[in-house]
Amino acid sequence: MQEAADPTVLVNETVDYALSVVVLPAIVGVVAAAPALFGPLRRRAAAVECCVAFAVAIAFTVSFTRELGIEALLRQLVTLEGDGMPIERWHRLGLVAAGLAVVGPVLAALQAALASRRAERVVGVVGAVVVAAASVFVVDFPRATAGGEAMVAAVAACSTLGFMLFARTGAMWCAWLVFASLAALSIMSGFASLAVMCAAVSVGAFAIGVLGFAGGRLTKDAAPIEASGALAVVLGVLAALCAACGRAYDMIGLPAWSWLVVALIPLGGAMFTGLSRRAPSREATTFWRVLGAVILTILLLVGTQLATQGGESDAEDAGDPMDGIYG
Amino acid sequence: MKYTTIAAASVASALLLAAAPHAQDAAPAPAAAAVAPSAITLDPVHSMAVFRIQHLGAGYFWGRFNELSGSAQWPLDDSAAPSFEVTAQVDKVDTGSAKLDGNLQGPNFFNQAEFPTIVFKSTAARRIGERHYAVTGDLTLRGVTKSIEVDCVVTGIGKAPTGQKVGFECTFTLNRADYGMKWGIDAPKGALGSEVKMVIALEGDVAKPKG
Repeated sequence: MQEAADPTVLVNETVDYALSVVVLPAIVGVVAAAPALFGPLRRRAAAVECCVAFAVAIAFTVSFTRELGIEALLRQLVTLEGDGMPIERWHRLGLVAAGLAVVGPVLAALQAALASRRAERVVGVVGAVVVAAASVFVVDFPRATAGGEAMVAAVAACSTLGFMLFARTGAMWCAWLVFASLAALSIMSGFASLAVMCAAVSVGAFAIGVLGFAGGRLTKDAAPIEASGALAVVLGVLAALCAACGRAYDMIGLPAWSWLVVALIPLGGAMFTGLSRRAPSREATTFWRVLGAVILTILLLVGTQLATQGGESDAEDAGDPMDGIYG
Repeated sequence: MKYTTIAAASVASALLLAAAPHAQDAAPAPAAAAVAPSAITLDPVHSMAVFRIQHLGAGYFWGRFNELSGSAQWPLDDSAAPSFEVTAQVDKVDTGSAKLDGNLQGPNFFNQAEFPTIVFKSTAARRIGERHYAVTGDLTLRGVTKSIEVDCVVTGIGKAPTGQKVGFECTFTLNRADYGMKWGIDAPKGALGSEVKMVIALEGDVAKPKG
């Protein structure tokens, strides 16, 4: 028999859980990005992109290990003594995130070493395609077909290109929306572990966006947080793989298009291209880009909610609202 | 020729022994002439596994796996212990709520996409009483195989127009964390209990003797 639960204790334990798997990983990400958000490093665009790309990937990785234990990551690389647990295929998402924490900074350094802006962009786009294809090859979710994997790689590349649309801190606001939407879809599909990992990235991206904005005001000649390559690759690939993972393990049956659109929210930045081009300032450009992503996010979440409500009975709706997360 | 015959007889005996129900290591089998074990094919309509787990430290909720399949062997005179091989399909989980069923089939729990079946294969048994056995076997759940002991009672032998039917009820308790199903035990703490009580109701059709 288990002890009787005190409701206040349960709330505290839920808060502890959220702190452990969402807030703490987000803080780790912010700490990793902080050196490039304030101070001398903020003047070097490559350093900013390198640190922020690392921060996003490490926030996901830390959340993964907090949620599933470091063993879930290590058993994919080495044989753990006394470990009788099998490797679950979706755990490769953690491996890919850890890999992106390395690839992101390397790509940023490579771009920084290039002489022209154009070459930098080319490396960013090629990097997006290569990293997306390699990541899809690593994850290999259940029921995946060659065509399906090619589509995930294409979505990852498109998502990466979408993040490249955003100037200033726009990419961080967009990442906040994308990963918050992924967390929401994961909760709707009963995949709580993926939800908390995406929530950690979302919270981290928002905090980095706020601090990046403040750092930009406080630092003279501050470089903007731009997703010109490395950061866009990390965000785009991670978003596409999380969406593919959510789709592969969705036993509730959310519409397939929801998982596709969520990874393509960054392309919403192109919705007001005309207005953003005519915008008087870079801040106004960012506003129009982010507004497009916001509208796409709202359409996605409302559309998904309407599509799933059709199959649910009133009796089920009236149940425990925590059922979605608490089994 | 003679040696060949002896060898063939030995192989046949060994095969028969291997196919026989489990030897009983506690009480000896009744001394009366033992009846050969009957092959029993499980009837999915009347076979199910019911489970119970505590929710939020409060109530127990029940769910079940419908349509169990597999086979059993048991001599109808109870002269030996039964043996079982039972399979549950994770997509047959049924809690009365489609949403909860989906949650349970997801990666936080049974992870149906990767581990679509739960299998129990008995390896030994000992008699506890009349038509009552402790059956040991390997339970494979979420890709993890562990030996468990199941309390198993023969609930009855019945007749149907198609032939004889035998019923069993088996109960056991498992710790789901042993099978990598840890969500809700420590994090979020106490969301769902770690202990799962299982009641397996089996009914099968006895194969008609040949000839």
